[in-house]
Amino acid sequence: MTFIEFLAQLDPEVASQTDNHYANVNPFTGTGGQRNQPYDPNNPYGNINPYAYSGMSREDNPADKLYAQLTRAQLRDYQERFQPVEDFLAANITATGTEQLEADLERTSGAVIQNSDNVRGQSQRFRERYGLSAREQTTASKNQTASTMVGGLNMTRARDADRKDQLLTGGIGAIGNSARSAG
Amino acid sequence: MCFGGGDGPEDPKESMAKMALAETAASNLQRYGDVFVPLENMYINEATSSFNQENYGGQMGDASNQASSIYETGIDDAAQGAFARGLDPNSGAFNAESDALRTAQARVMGEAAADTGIAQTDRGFGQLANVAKMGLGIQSEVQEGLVAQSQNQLGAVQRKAEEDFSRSSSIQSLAGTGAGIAAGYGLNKKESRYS
Repeated sequence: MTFIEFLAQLDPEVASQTDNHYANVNPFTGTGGQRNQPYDPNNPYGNINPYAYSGMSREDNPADKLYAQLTRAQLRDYQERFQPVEDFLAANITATGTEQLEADLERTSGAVIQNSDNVRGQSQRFRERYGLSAREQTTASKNQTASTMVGGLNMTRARDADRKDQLLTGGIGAIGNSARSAG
Repeated sequence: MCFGGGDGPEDPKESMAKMALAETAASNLQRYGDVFVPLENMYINEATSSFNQENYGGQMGDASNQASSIYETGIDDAAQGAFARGLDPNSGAFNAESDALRTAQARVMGEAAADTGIAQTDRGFGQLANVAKMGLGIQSEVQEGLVAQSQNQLGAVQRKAEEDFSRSSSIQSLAGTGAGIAAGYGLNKKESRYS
């Protein structure tokens, strides 16, 4: 259930209060919510004024307020720019490797077939230069193409399985560690 | 009862130093946003588009062409060697050798192109993992560049070509002659187009 779906089940007034609470909106002014602040992915900290709280009384904890604003901005920036990449990487992991396997297999098989055809063409042109007649593809050549294909597809699968391990241990493995130690 | 005498724990005030540190942190963050975020975004855009098909076609074609050019040189040399030995171009011996070399060429070209495609996918995942590390503030890893990748693969293709041509009796028959040396040199002097 999403947050929006959860809100839809509540009494409208309660839903509004809950939404405002999580959006950190000032209940008196209706402003200041994190979600209402503009976000520019090319300059996500441009709307922060380092001296916005300089004139405030020290009893009102202006440094804490500024730090809180920085922390919210950093979280927002992380959520907007980096989290989608983390989600994409996590979604790419399958039981045997990654979601890119099918595309890689297709490219490998295309490369083997296409290059076999290209070389046959080159061979025919070579023979034509010497005034020789064209020759049919030999059984040995067909077998070699099939064996190259099998070897290539097996290699593609093995490399994809390696990728999964590398992602889990080195790529997104650190995300879990970081999330557990947060706080 | 109030004893006076200054600020107690019930009346905390933030220090000026804390405020200065917070302002410094905010200024640093703004500089990061102004200068480094656009650079990071360039890398993120490159990483997120790395699996697009247009990033594969050119590189796979280059790898296959480089492999092909190595074999073409050798096959021409082998044909000259065969004719020097007096072989009839229609003879079974000539055809068998020619077929063997062409088959080897097709195998190596296919493997080179496929390997380049797989390497591009690896590279894409490496870039995306680096983006995730950037987000966590972890040192990202320097990846092998396209030039180095191409050079490494070219080296592998040349080693395979040398193995294939070492079985060619026509090239063997030229060993010690100027053409034989040229054939060997021709196999070794190829360099990546990026070099």
